[in-house]
Amino acid sequence: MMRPRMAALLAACAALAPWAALTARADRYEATISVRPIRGHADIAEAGTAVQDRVRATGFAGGLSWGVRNWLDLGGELAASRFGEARYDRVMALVDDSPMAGPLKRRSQVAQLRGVATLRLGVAWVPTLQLALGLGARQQTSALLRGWSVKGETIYVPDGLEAGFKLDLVAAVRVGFEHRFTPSWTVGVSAGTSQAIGIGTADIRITDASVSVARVWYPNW
Amino acid sequence: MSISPASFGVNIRTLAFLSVLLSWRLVFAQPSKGEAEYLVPPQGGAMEVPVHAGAVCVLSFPEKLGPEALTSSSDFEIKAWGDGGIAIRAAHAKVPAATLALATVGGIKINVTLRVVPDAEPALTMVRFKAASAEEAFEAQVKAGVEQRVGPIERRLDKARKDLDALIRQRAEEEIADRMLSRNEIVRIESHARNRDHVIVHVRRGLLFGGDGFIIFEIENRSSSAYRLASVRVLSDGRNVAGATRLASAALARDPSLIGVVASGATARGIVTVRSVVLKRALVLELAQPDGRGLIRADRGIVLR
Repeated sequence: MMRPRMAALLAACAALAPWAALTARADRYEATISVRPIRGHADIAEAGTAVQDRVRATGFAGGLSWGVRNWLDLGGELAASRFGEARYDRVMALVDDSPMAGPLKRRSQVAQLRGVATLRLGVAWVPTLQLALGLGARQQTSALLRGWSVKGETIYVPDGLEAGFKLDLVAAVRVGFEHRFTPSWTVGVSAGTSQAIGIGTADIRITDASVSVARVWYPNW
Repeated sequence: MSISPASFGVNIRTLAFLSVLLSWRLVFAQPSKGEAEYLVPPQGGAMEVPVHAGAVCVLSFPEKLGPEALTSSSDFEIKAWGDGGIAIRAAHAKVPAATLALATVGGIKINVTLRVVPDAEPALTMVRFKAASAEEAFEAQVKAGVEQRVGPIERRLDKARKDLDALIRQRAEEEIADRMLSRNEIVRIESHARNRDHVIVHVRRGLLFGGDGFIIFEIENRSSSAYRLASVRVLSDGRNVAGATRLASAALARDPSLIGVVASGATARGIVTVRSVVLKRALVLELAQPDGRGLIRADRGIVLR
């Protein structure tokens, strides 16, 4: 249900960006520190099934950036999200080297460090387009596969799906709109999607919308 | 028709009258090289005409000349030149000055003093006499008199002014040289500030020059209206130490009370002098529009050291 709405929001923001660029002016020399809660959903894949499960994603992100041009900020962002329990109806997995099929569930949470380039296309009302690349750490609980044995219904932890940390490569795109209320404070709304490309594990795509608050100042360093 | 002293009847009364009028000054309405124009009042006039030996000078009158004329010397060749003019020529350079008394049919009496001048001096080849009212003639006379008296003074003043400009420039160059020898350093500054209207001041460079300092700033106007810079203050311990301020901007400031205007979307560079430079002390740069509106206060990072 949420996916079409999110896609429509992203499309609308992308459509507004070129219009806003006509009045583009800048924020050179400014530093910005921003925080935003993350509220959205994640599409999580799992080994042994082609199906992805969509779960709720909540988290928090904070960033620091520097205006290198009147229209471009460069900086970094640290984002942490935790997801609802992903459930898969039928997963083929090895348990003690024996193939087994059945429903599987697992919880994940991620922390991502991204390098961010933000196109800022305004002065008081600022449409933004943000691209990010980075690394992520994914912490997963043990996958629990429900199967049947001579003892009846049994919960197994498939081989290779034990609890642990995995690394991700992260790419993200974000569009938003922010308003500078005072010379020092801005508030914005944005929507974006990020793809965590798992190294040795399945991918996670996070799509979210959030409200951000930022403190802006000239560091004069 | 040839006119000679013998052919003119001598009119003693007319000659006497014209002699009295010799005290009238020549009236040059529009002096130009070789030409002159005289305004003659109804009661007549007298004037001097410098000529070169051998050159023909034409005297042109506003109306037909009367039949009588009188000259004091036969060394000038004098011939009628149409109804309202005569042509004169000096036979040689040694000819003494001579007078020529004329009258028009309308009764205007004119006495012309002909004087041969060396080739190095300006002379006339065409003289036009114009009838004028007494007021016009008097006005022209006054104007000519003023010009004669004030002209040399103005020329002397112009020369003095030019000399003064050169002197000021020389003194300024000497002052600059002295200051450069004393101290000249560029100081890197990093200070930025903005106001609520999105007008930003960037201060990135200062200059220590002799005993004074300079702060170079840029005003980036990102607002939707022009920024009218009216005051620039540099505060050191609460005391304003700003001197002369200049703003280089493409927008014109029609109000003389303004330092300059920065158009919407434009950036302009300015400079402010810091008198008796305060070294190693934090300075505050304040820019404002008239009545203190649009204040921008850069209060960090400005130190001349």
